[in-house]
Amino acid sequence: MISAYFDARLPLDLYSGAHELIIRAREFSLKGEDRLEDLLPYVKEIRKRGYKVSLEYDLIVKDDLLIMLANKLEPYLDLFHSLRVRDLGLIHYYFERTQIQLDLILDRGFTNRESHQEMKRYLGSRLGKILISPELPKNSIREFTESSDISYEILVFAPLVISYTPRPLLQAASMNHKSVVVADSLESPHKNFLVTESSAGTLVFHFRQFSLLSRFNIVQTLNLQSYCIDMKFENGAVLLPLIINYLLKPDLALLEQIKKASLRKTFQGFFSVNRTDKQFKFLTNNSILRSDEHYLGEVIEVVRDKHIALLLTNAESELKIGDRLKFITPDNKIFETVVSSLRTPFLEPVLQAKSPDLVLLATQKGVSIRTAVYKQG
Amino acid sequence: MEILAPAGNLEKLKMAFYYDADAVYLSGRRFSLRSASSNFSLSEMMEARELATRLNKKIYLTLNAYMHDEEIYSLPEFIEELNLVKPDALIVSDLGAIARIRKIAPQQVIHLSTQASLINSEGSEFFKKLGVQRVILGRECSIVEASKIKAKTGLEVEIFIHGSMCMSYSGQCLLSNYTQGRDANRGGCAHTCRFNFKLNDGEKTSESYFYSSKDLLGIEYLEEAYKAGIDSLKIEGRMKSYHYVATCSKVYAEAREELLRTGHLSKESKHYFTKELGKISHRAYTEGNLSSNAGVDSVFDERENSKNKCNVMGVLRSSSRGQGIIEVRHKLRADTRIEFLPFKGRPVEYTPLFFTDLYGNRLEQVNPGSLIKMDLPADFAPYTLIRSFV
Repeated sequence: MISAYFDARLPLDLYSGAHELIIRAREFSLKGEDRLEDLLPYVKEIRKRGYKVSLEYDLIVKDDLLIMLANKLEPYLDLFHSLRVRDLGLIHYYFERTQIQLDLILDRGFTNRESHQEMKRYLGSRLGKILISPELPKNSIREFTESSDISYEILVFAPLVISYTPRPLLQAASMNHKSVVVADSLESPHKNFLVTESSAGTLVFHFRQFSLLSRFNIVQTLNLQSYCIDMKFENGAVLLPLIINYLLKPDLALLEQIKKASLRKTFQGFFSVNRTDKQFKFLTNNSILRSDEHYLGEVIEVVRDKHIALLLTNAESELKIGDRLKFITPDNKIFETVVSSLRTPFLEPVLQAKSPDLVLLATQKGVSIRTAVYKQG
Repeated sequence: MEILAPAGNLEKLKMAFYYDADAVYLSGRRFSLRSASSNFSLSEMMEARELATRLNKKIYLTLNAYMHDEEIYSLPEFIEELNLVKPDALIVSDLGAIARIRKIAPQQVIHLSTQASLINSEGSEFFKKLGVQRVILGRECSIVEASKIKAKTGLEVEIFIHGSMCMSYSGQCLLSNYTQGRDANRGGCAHTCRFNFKLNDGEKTSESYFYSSKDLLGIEYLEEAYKAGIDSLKIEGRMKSYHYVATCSKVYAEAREELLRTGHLSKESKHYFTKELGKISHRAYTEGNLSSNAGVDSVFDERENSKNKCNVMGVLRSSSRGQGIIEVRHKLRADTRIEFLPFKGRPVEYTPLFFTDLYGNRLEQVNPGSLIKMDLPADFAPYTLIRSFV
């Protein structure tokens, strides 16, 4: 099935071949430009032509707005075969109070099957389909679709919203908040973020158009029920029929035409692989992380030829003369020694110490502050 | 009304507790959103538990990353380990994780993380049905809105009262994912939102840190939160310094104490507490959404830099017969004005005439990574922070 976002500026005939048209009104949708009332005549025409019609309601809303918009939508709800919703409060509201089918936009988080199954358990037959997160790589998508009876939709050509705030940031920056503002990072190589502002807040779009068209041969094997396309920021008058035709009958020549007619560069996101958790191990210095086995504390002063000051921080730790110690320095060098003397910071000799004491040990070459100290054996 | 402080590691947890926070939130080394923080090993969590129990405090463990399948599958093993820690609650955002925890640890108290972007009572009802006991509302909610959610749902509500703010709805931001290849919702946020941008609206261009938010300061609204029945006030910042954790815990706990004692917070106290919070490293402050929707003046259109009024000069490690041993964290010269920050009560200013190394040798100046001995102006407990002024 092909689901396409409806743009009232494009002739309805261009949508031929699609199965579902998604209405986005500016009161309900982040990317909407027209008022719901202005779109209603189109909705009637679209229905007449036999398309399914879904209303996108992808805002995150507070109680007051939820009620106000519910009242506004109520007389027209029957015109739509489904609501596309993101906010779990809206899902709850429309599930408990109406009979409309709910299509879920689960493009933030929801990157595990259990979360989808939980939504299925809650909504039952009222769950229409799930727009799967573009953060999931193809292998994960395949696992999702093969192990579930949930209908899934995937974005195949669309601008990606990568951040969403309710604050009016273009006004704050004294920009024309009614236009699409281009933002170039001055601290990284990333240029051409598109930024828009509406009553819902400010959206930042990825600097390229998300497109899986060149990987559509793989997309087709993923057992997905719906392919979604969105012409916002693009040359819809030319591209829309080309892309619909391509999705119905993939063809390399058609793909070339699409590439030539596209206004924006494209990217495939994490479709091949998602390694966005792989750098984390570099963010911490594992040498100074406390291991659990026999940890005593940390060196907080080293005075050459005089002492090493050890702060005993492990509540379980006890140190006495004769204990064998292991030092692990911040640059991961390891030294071992036997405790030959123990003194308080007031230089009084003691036989043993425990947390939270500060004790002075004999010096050990190579040991620096922040060295972790462990008891051996 | 609980004061809930961040604990990026065990030392910070001790600071938070000694400076009178009622509870802390902390992470194990998996499933949290602060991968660059050292976080807690299992034995550290057990030690935290022991200390919390002894001091009659609470610990909440964050499991608020959005999980992929492989993480969900390894969750039961981690939850089993937590039987040794017995956290007072788990802070979770992922629906799949909540469902999994419900199955394997049905008695475990769950708080919904702010990462779930929850700002309405319908969503709260949804999570209540899943067994969540407390909702940590999005920073977009006002105190009045939070209070209404509590009244409608009967759930405990927690709001942020202080600290850095995401510009985006928390949990909805993919800037870091798509620009730096680091998943913000799994602990790797690279703070791309704090960058400087060139903006072009077709007619004019300008440079702006347009996506960077000022920091939240809620001391003015503490009384309103108290009267609104808010259950917990959260201080952001597991990556922040000891100084930050100690100062925020102390200020908000003392302000709450005055509220409980007198029913209100005096103008003089508000001034004092605000001044204290001005001593820690922070961006320009905003009241955020606590009263009404954050507007154009909530943007921090400046380069990130630290204009500290105070530094942590050191930490008191030991004392005996009126003398203290101080671990020096910031360069100090003799005859410099410093300030002891006791666990209770106002800071104590002091100018040491001299200080020595541990062997009694007088020092004119001392660098970080040293221990010094000096006379103390009063009795202070170990872990007392000492500030110096810039």
